[in-house]
Amino acid sequence: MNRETTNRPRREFIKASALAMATAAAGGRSTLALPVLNREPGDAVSWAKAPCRFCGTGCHVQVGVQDGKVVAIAGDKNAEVNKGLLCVKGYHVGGILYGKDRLTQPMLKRNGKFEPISWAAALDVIADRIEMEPSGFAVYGSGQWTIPEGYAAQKFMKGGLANNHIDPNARLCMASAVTGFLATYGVDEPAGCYDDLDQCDVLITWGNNPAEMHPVLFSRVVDRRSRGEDILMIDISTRRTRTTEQCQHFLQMKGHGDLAIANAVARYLIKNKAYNPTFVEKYCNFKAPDPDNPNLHGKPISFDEYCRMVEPYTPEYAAEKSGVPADQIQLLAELFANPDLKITSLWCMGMNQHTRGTAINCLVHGIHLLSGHFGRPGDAPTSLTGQPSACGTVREVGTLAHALPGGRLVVNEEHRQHAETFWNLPSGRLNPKPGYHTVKMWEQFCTPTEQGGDIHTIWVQVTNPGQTLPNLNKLFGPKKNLKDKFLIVSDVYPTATTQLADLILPSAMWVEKNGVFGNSERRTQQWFKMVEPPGEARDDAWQTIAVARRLFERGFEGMKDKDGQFLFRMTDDEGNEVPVWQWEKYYSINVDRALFEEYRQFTRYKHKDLAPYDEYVKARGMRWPVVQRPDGSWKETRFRFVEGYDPYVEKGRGIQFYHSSTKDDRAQIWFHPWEPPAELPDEEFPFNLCTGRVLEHWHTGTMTRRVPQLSRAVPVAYLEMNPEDAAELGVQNGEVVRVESRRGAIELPVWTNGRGYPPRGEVFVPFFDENRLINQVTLDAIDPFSKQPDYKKAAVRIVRIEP
Amino acid sequence: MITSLVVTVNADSRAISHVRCAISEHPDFELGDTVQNRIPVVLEAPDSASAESATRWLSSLPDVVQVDVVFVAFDEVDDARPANEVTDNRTPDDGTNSIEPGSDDQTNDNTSNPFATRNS
Repeated sequence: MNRETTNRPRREFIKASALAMATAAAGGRSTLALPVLNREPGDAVSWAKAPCRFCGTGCHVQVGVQDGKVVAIAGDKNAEVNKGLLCVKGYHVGGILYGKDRLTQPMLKRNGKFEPISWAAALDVIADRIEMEPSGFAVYGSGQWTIPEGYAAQKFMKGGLANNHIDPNARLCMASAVTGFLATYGVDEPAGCYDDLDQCDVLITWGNNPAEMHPVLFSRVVDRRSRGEDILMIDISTRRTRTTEQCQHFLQMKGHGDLAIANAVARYLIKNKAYNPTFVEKYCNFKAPDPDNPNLHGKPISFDEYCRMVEPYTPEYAAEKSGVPADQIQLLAELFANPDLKITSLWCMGMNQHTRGTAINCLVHGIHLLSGHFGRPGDAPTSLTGQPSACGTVREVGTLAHALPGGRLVVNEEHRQHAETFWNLPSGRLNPKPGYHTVKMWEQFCTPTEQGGDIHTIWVQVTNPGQTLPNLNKLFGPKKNLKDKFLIVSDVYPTATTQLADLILPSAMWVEKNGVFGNSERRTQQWFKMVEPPGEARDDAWQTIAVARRLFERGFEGMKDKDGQFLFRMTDDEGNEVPVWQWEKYYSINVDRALFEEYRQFTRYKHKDLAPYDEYVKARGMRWPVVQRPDGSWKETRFRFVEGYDPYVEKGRGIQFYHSSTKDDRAQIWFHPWEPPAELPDEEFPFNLCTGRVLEHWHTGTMTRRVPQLSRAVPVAYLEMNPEDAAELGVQNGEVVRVESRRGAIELPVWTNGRGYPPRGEVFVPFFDENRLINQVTLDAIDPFSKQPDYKKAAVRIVRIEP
Repeated sequence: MITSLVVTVNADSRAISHVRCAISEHPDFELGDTVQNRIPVVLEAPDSASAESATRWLSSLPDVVQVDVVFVAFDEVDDARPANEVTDNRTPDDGTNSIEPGSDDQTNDNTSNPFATRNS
């Protein structure tokens, strides 16, 4: 009997179940059970929830496991984020576990070749590097760390080594959003949530392409329109994308044009008395940069001073600076002037990867506040993140060089005391000096020791800086010739980073371990381990704890609390210590739960309260602040700072920005001037280079490039350029050219009729291809406040390669 | 591989009818009953490459606004491979570079990368 005949009844059963499930999802019903792949008793698939491993949207999936392997994925019908639906990445989120080149054992480079070593030996190597000089050791982490992983690394570095050189890849993607929120509201993260997408009348995407990068969110709006709702969509960007195709208006701007556009909107509102005076008088102050003392909080200005500052930004002036016609700018301003509309702004990398990223983030918040388009469902300025836990692990746990958990700062003595108390450390253990931010950390690592390069070792977890750092020839490549520098990489697959590693540690991923993520709308999401990792791959949090233990056993004082106990001491229900640093004991208790409960103590200070771990086990995530009600249940918060939604807003206040930097419950409306990009095209380098992602590949492609159909669809990076520019250069579609900047060059095929339709003078290259590293070309200039680099603007020239 | 999808169509009865008609002519799809402007479908494909390709075809149909994935069963599929094995080795510097120029034929779907291997 052939296989097809054998399986036919089963397949028909699966198909019938799958159709019933799709029908239920189409109708928004949630009564149907998940399909059972096998009907035979005892041979059924087990299903459990997890957030998707890919982007920051935080869709929930149900994961089907059979015989120790993930065999099916379903959209989770009980998840508010995605309501049972997934984007095409749903096809692949299971398969990413099973690439045939998974890293399965620790490997140490000896004489230029990797040799397998034991975990015990690997832990000793790391401990030796730390003991050599603890202050020169750094950790480079990720928005793909789970919350417990990031928290363990944070405690290990700041509590254990008294060393603040820990920073994440999220510095490269959303640091300017953080500084924008802090400068405006005094506290980080969006006040609104995804529910705004179900209520808005106008959706504005500022340098954002959610149709490809956050498709499930974008479809919430598109779906409403397909059902006849009147929704106006406006795309403000330097290039056309799939998002543009769905929008009624496209404001095509030059780099940094957004600064001029936002100021012109503010001017229009004032000139036409179309701002919201009640909202402004009750809830807002005005601020401007302080040139004598540049800092995140600037200097206060009066409303009149603010009006004078925005006065030059006529539609015509803004048009000159932005390249957007004045009538389109006026159209945008008129929308903000209409109090009856509900306006949601979305942004991601376009506004954040910007040497004036903090400024443009503040300006977009500012026009929402000035016009009063804030605080009603559908009226919200909301940043999105690209990684699944950039908010949860980086922004909330504070795995940044200057931060402590829960919105605290290392420079603040009171904050350090909080951490020392929660961690039971001796007073004064924590280091008050901020560590190196990402660009500085790698610069110091790639600078010879004798020339002041004081970082001797970096331990990378869950990220791929060898591909994503800007200006790789300066910030990563030099490591190759620096023999006293040591790179440790914990990862699941070989990457551009492991190529220069000295020690590679194999990690468990996604449902091979317990985890907690925090998505873009303040939603904390938990899952349990479902399958075993391959070979000797182990959890990243275990790796951190095991190194800490190795140091403790060597007598390293920092790994002891003030009672002499191990910094990561964990106990079972009877209070007996469990040696979780031994891999075979790691899952004897739920280490994630223990770390999360300890971390939870930090979260109340900035009113980002989290519920107990066990509440998240029951839920499909909850949005903080999550507070306990008199009946003992836990309630999430959809809209912050708004009476009736946010439990911390006092009765009768309406809106209360209770973490205001001016201590008066007001948000700050900023003026920031238009300034040109750090590097502009010129005669020598006449094109502007913008880099980004494509639908088929997630970030550096370490997972998606292992999925054959995704790689076949987009196998190599390419240079997208305007057909007229290509014709002028005599370049044919598909021809390989050299892209050169002042920092490096790579060769790429040209694509003239592609997705992005760049205007003349603009080119685009995706960064997923490790064989064609566009970051050898990009610029490492950073925003002065967020320290985030600008990957969207670098001057390049395109050189035809003569056959 | 068996997957189920929800196809969202512009809320116009004629558009829904046209889309249903087009899908019904595709041998790999099975249609469910339309719910408002959403059509549930089941797709049976030999592998995920074919499934993805069929999904793209759905997305390209006139009046289709969105295609969402609901369920994927890949218990009989095992096709994840090392990146350099699946992407091809056609790097410009390895001597085997044969990157194929994209078609300038504007009737093609120009949203697909022209450098995709032709035989995939």
